Amino acid sequence: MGKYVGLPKIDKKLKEKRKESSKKAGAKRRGPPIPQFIKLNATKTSIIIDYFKNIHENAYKLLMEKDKFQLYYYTGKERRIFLVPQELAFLAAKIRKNATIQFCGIYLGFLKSRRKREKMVDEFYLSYEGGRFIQEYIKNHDPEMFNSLQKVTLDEEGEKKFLYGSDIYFNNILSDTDDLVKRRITFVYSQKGEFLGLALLKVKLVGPQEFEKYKNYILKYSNSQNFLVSLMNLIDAGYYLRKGA
Amino acid sequence: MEKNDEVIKKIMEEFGYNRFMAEQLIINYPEDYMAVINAFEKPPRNTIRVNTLYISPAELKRQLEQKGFKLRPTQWIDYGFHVNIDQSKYPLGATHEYLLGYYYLQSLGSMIPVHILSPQPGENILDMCAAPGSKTTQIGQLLKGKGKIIAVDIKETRIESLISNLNRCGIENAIAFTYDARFLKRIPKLINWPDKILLDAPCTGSGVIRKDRSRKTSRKLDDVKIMSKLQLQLLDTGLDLLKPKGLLVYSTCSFHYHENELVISKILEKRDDIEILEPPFADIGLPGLIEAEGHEFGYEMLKTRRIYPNLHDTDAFFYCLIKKKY
Repeated sequence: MGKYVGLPKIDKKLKEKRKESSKKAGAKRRGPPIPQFIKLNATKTSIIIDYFKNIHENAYKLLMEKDKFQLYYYTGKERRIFLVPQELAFLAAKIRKNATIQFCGIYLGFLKSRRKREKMVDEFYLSYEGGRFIQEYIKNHDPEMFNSLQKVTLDEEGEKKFLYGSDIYFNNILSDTDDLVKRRITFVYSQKGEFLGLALLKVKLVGPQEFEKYKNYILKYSNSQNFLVSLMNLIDAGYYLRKGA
Repeated sequence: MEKNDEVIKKIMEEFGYNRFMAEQLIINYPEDYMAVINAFEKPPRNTIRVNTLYISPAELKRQLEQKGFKLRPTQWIDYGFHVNIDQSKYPLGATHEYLLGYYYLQSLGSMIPVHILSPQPGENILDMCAAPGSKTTQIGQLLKGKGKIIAVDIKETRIESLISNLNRCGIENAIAFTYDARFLKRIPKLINWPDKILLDAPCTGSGVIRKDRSRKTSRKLDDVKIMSKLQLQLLDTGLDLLKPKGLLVYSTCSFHYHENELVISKILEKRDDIEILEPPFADIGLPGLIEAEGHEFGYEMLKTRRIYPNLHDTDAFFYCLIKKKY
C-alpha cells in the first residue's frame, strides 16, 4: 500500500496546540476542583490585613500576636476564612491530610471576587461570627482599643429593623454619632450591650425635606442638600433565619 | 393470638399505624403499649436548651417571660426549659434571643445522651453523626471552650446546618467535615484520640412520632434491619477509635429493640474489651429489655435505659453507656 495522497498535512505546532487545549477542555469536563482546607497564603492574608485596618489600625496585630491563631481557607463554593486557635490548628493539620475540613475554629468571613478596573480582585467580607469574636476579643485584651472602635447603640425599633436586614437611620441610634467616620466598620449593639451586627456609614441620595433633619451629618460629608446619611447593614444576627439554619 | 390480632387491628384502625409498627409497639412495650400510643398522640412539647456559654438559665427565663412565654424547668437537665407559647406573639424560633444563640430548640429526650456522656473541659470528643448539631452544640457548651470536638456527618447538605448551628451558638473549638463515620479509621490521627464519643446513631426515628406522624406507616422490618446493621458497624468503628478507659454513649430515637438492645448485645458478643456501665444519672429512664420476640439480650441490658413517652412526656429514646476497658 502506498502513502495516502490528497490528505492535508497537519502543522506540528497546530497539533500540539490542539492537544493542550483538549487537555484543558478535559479538565473542565471533569467538574469543579475538589474543595480544600489550606493555610491562607500571603496574598490573601494581605487582603485580610487591609480589611482589619477599617476596624482599627492595630486590630490585626492584636489578634495575631504570640501566634495564638492561624488563618485557614476553605476553597469550596463559598470561600470561607477561618481563624483557628493554635491547638486546634495542630489537629486540623493532621486531619486535613485525609479529609476536607469544612469548619474549624471561628468562621471569620469569606472572600468574593469582584471586577475592579477590568480585573477580578478578591475582597474580604467579615462575618457576623467574625465580628462577634473580634469585638469580644478586643474588649477582653485591649479595653482602650475597644473604646476607640466605631460603635452605635440602637433603640428597640432600630434593633428590630436591623435584625430584619434593614439599614439604620439616625433617628434609631441612641449613642453619640458625631464622630462616626466613613469606611470604618461600625459595631452595632442593642441597649443591653448585645452585639447585633456590623454596619458601614453611607450617604444616599434623597429629597431635600430630609436635609433639615440630618443637616449636621450631611454638611459634614457633602455640600448637597440631596443626601441622607445612614448606616448600611453589612451583616446582622437575623441572617441565620434568612439563610435557613 | 386472636386477642393479639384484634388489638393490632384496633391500633391500626384507630391510630393509623401500619401492621409492623402496631406489632412492634406491643413487643417493645408489652405492658404499656396503649399508654405509649396515647402519649404519641399528644402534640409535641416545646423545649429549649439554654446555651450557658452566653447566658444563664435564670436570665434567659426572665427575658423570654417578658415576651409572653411561660417557662418551666425540665426534669434531669438544669439548663432546659419546657416552654408554653400560647400567650406570646413571637415565634420561639425567631426571637432576638434565639438569633443571638442564647438557646437551642431541642427535645428533652435529645438532651439526655450528652448529659450522660458528661463532657468535661479539656476533653477530646468525637461526635460521629453530628448533623444538624443539637448534641454537638450541647457538647460545646459543656466543654466551656476548653477541649476539642470533631463533628462528622455523612451528608454534605446536613453539614451546612451543623455549621450554621455551631456558628450561632458560638462553638469555637470544633472541627466539622463530611465523612462516612464507618470509615473514620482511615484518618490515623483519630485512632485513640477521643476521650469520649457520642454515637447518636441514624435510626428509623420511630420514637419521634409526636413530631412526625408519617413514622406510623413509613417503616417496615427491612428498614429496621438495614439500620441495625449500619448501627452495629458505626458502634464497632467508634469503639475501635476510642481511647482505652474512654466512654461512648450509644443512643437512638427509636423504640425498636433491633436498633437498641439487639445492637448492644451483638457488640458485647463481638468484643471483650468493653463493658456496659450503669449511667451516672440512673433515674433517667427505665432499664432496657432483656428479651423480645425470642431474642435474649442478657441482664447487661438492665444497665441500658429507655425513655418512655407516657412516663417522661418526651420522645422515645434509648441510650447506653459503654466503657472501653483496654
